[in-house]
Amino acid sequence: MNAQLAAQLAIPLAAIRDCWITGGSAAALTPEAWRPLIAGVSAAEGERRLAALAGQAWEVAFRPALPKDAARQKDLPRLALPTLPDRLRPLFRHALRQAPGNDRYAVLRLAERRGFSAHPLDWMPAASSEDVPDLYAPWQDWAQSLDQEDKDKGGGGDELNEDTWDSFYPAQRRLLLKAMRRQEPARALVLIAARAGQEAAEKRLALIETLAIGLGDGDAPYLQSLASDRSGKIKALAARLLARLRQASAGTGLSPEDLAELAGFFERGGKGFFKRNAAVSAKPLKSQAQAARRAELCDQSSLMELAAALGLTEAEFIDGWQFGGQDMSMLTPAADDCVARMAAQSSADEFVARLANRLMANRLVAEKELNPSLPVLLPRLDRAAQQRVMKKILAGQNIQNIQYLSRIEHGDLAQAGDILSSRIYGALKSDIKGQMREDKTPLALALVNLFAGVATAEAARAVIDDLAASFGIFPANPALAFLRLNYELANAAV
Amino acid sequence: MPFDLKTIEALAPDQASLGAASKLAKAGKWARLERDGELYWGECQGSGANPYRVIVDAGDRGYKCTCPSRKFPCKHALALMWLGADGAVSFQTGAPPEWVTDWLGRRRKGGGGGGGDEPAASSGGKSIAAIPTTEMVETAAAEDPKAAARREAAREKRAENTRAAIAGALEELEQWINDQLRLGLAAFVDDASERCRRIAARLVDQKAAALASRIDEMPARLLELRNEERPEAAIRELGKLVLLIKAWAARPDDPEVRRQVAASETREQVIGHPDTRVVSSAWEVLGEKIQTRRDGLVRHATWLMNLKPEECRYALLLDFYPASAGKRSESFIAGEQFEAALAFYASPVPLRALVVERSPAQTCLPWRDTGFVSNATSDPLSPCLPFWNGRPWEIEWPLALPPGRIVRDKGGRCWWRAEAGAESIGLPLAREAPLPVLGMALGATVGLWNGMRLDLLAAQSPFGRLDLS
Repeated sequence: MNAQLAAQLAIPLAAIRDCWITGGSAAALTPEAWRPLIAGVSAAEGERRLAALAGQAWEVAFRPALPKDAARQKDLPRLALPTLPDRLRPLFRHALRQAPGNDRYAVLRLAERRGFSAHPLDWMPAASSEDVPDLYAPWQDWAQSLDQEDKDKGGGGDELNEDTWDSFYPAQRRLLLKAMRRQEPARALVLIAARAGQEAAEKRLALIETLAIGLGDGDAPYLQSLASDRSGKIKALAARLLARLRQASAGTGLSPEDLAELAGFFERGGKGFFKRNAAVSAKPLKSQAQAARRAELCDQSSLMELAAALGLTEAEFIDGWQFGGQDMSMLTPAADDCVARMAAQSSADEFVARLANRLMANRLVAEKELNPSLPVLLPRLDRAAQQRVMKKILAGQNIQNIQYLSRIEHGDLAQAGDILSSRIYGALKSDIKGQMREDKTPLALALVNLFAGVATAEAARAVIDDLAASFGIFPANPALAFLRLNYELANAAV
Repeated sequence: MPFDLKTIEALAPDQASLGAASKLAKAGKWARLERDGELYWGECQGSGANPYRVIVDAGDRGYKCTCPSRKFPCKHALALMWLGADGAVSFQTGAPPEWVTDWLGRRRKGGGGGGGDEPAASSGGKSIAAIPTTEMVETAAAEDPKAAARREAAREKRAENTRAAIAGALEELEQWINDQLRLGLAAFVDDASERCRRIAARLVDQKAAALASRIDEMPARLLELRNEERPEAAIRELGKLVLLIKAWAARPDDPEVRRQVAASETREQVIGHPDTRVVSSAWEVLGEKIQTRRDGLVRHATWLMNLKPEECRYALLLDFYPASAGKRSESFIAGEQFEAALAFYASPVPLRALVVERSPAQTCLPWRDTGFVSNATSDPLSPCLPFWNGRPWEIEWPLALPPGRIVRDKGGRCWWRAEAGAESIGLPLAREAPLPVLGMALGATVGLWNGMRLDLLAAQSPFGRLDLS
């Protein structure tokens, strides 16, 4: 690059360009150094030579200048796990495309279980994504940092404390708080109590949500203090967490009138020979508006609060709950769903498990079929309970229930025999057979793919082999990408 | 180089094609499924009256289908690959029918990417196996010297006529260039499509077909730029045309100039040319650029990087084909490395090449060991010097950049910037970079620089090799 030459030519070249933009001869504007090159030729030839010289000069002597406002972004952090091997990335991308919405997280969880993270060119959390797997929190913080002026964050190392609080981005902070809650819940509580009050409501809510991890009686005083928080959402969250601790004293903030209205949607009776045991059921509703109001009040309340309003303990409410109210087939959400959601949000683990057990044993739903209210409890269940729910799904024939497998966070729960001999797999195969006859891509294949989230690698392979043997479906069929990824990742991990 | 499922997935242009292919990957869909060694062919009933004829060469991943799809490979070719790879369906073994042998003859077996001629190419091309050896030609000449002399005279006559026609075309082009400058580039930019089409048609009539195609695509290149940049870009384009005209006037028989103005050589001519350089080395596929031109032809460019760059650092495999004819040459996967002997078209700065022989790579070579990364931190464009000197009319050329980053300005435009040494220089990107790339220190970047925009092909980063093509 000849900066001096560029400086000499910049003005004449601009003049030549401007002349030609409007049209006409630019010969008179020829730089002095070039004049010998166009001397003695026709005017037309001179113009052409000038065009060749100008074009070459721009190309060779000039360099595009970087705008002053062009900003360098901070480095994209490395994650705790290595990225997928290059050869499996196309398969991973296919699997992701097959998975709608949050089902993508099932694909990401599978990769994580097998020891890999996504390649950033294949998947990146958006700054606004919710429920992003913890592994990717550093990337979400990075994505958020792109839109922020403050580029100096992220220098706090791994140690989160009051002094380093401001040097972390929110997602990274939440990630560290979650880790701290698992190991030192009291220390995390002190930190949250000290700093949450200085954050905006949405960020404060996210911080307080981390208290759900390792929730204990020691958290109760702080949660009770949140009864006076200016955010209604935080008040409700604190009340739900307190309810999990079986401390309803703070209440959810629901007014006595609203609580009475909520209790009015339910009725208490007796069951058993002497009607000594409490029975709780939903009163019949007359309109969708009533169903919507009931659901709204349930979301604002806790199961403990509702039980108390009916003069029951939480355990009595759960044990006495009569599944399948009269409105069940007519109005949504059904009362069962409302109760399950309340339990998921506000009940202690033992009550969630208790309700899950009742839902699994519920005889009103066709035998061996999954109660549709059960999946909402899945995130609150432990591995063993999730496995029981999975087996319940496999034992049924309603193929739509397969979609709930993607809510099961634990993997490698199903062996090949569990799937291949299950009723639901048989039902799926019947569907596939029918759809194959119609000469279309069997829609049921997309559902079969969802086994990948819970299957062991051997089981995933066995399903693919079985489909190939039964219907001639090719292993590379994109509809089966998630299943293939399952066993290919297991091989890669080896 | 047999197919496997991962290769097929990588070759597929998109997920929809794979999905569509899966519906066809069953024996019942095919009226015919046959093979001969690594060559597979079949007839698949589509929506047309006649079944589509599909051919796949597992040896070099070549394929052809008679369907009108503009996806390459199409679903029929992908389905046939699957059937061949899976082994669940039995193919009848037999001699290839005529339509298969026709394709084999046209596709220049082993000459992947670069076998395709632009439409004005003088020969239909043949299989490499069918290239007459010097000995055979000499024998034929010895058999009938008079006939050979007549053929030679006729060829000379045709060549003379072509030269005369092209000379006339270039005179007309010179006048056209002057007209654009005289009437104003503002008007030219606004009406470039029509004006370029008219002169391109005249050039085709007068056998300057390659130049015609170049001019026909000029409006598209201008439109990719911002309004205020277009007049300068137009001057650059017109200036390069002037240089080409001058080069033709000085050396009309120069292969490089002839290729730019008239037509490319046939494969036989490239291999037989005394200046053709054959380079055996390890190569990496930097990326592919597939562009459907205004004349309906698909221009399929595959960019390779020499991983042992003693000479010829880059290679461009070019293929042109009508969308309906199917891709004629081999298929490549971005990032793939292989061993190959490439024959470079004669040029002061060799770039375009043919694959003479290809085999799988024995080891995977990292970029850092290839020594290609520019050390020119003070001027990242200095590696362009050989092109500016040897092929000043070139529209774009490959460029390896030193350690740098992609940065974004307030307007959202992305720029490549050197990590150190030339921070004030920013090469604007032709397309927006994927967001995560903004957070990566790029140890090396390769792209195509056209003087105004950098079209990224690949880069090395802390997250490994990035395919950016």
